[in-house]
Amino acid sequence: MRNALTAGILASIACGVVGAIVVVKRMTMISGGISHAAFGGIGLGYLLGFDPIFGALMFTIASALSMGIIRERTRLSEDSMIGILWVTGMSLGVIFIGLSPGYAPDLFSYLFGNILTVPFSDLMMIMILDAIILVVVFLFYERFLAISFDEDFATAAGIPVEQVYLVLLSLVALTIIVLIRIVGVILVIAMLTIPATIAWQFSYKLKQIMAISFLLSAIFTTEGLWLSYLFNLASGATIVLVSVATFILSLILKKSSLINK
Amino acid sequence: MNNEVIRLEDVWVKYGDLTVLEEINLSVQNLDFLGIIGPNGGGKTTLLKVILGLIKPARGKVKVLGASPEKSRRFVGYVPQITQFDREFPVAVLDVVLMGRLGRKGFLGKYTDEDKKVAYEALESVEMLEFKDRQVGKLSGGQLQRVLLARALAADPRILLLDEPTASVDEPTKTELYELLKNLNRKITIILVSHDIGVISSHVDKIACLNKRLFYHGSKEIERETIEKTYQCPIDLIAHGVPHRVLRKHKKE
Repeated sequence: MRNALTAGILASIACGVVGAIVVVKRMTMISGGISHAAFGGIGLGYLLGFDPIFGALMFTIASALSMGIIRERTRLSEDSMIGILWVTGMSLGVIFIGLSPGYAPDLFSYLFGNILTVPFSDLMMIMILDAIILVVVFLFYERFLAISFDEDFATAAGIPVEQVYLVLLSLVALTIIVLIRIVGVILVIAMLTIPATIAWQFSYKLKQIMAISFLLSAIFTTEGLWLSYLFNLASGATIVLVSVATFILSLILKKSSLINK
Repeated sequence: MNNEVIRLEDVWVKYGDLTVLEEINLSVQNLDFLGIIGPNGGGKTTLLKVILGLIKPARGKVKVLGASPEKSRRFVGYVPQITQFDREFPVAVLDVVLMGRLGRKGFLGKYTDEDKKVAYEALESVEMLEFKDRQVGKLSGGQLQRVLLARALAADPRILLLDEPTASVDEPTKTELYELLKNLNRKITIILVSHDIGVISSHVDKIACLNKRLFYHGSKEIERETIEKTYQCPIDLIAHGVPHRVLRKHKKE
């Protein structure tokens, strides 16, 4: 349980910082595609007998980079490409798992998360990924802001937009790996988008949105964990529903102008 | 000494089967103040994007400062239309202007004191320094326009491209903006596109008309015969800065 709480708060760092960029740059769907593609890697891990999370890491990075390159270099509809990526990853995962001998333990927790059983080694992994994410965001903050605000200008000004975008997508991939532990591949986009969407309603500053999203995400995971423990519910889904409920509450607050930007 | 800063030769742009620009030939001289007028959908924004290297022509040659548009990007400032912006985007005025400095930094590197100084100066020159911490969504159209101009100026450009800078701006602000551009024109070549012919013509030095094809008159004193032969923009009247002279309706193609 203590590991679970720590994991939730550590994951919230990546979730808040990267989630804020995902939301203001409107990358929710591409993030959904990348996280579902991870399932292919998880399946491959089962099939070949290595840790599924490494498979997931390979697949998220590979799909993030290929999506970025397709987007920048072709005129294909990004929307459809995301859909194709999404189902390819899921289908590969199902086939790989079907081919694996015997029963696939923990399969359910990769799909829907299981924060309660997080081992200490995973905490280390989350911490390392957090550190990488924070350093990269610090280094690229201005460029992420520039390509999100006005990509045409960024290109015209001579910023290497494609490379910067690939760095950003790789960060999204890493964040998804962190969050798979907590909520599973299917619910990852909830954690990436809900805290940041709530935060954006009340702030006009990206750094502030990152900080608020982190806090919200930490609160949601803690609260969700506690509720799931109390009522014996699935932890990932409980965390997501707590987030959604808070989001609805925030809409009401916003509408009634009790809190404003 | 060649004074030409932009040259387009037989440039064609197509979106799929649709031809947007056809056989464009254009030569812009150093310190020109060129206004390009034409109807909406006539390819004005596309032409600017070709000069910026954002759109690759299907055919033809584009040279900016003697090199490819991509290579010359650092010397070209771009002021896009303000309507394309997400007004909710969480960014402050100063951060937007600083973005103009990023192009010269490449892949890595933070803003230096020098960058901040230049950004402050750019804001000062458009009289927006007092708004430096304001979120862009809370600016009026004219204010945002000036911030975008400051962002382009922060890159210290030799050529400035402006897309509909006077759309959604009130009359006094328009005049102010043109005064500002007039001053900048002493050091910077300016190309401005607009469908707002009334205002444009009294401020620029040279006018071209664009409606898929470009009709470049070289000076803003357009002779009636030339217009009747070439100018196919469906604009009713044009007054070329001479208060008492209103040109006749254009012939339809």
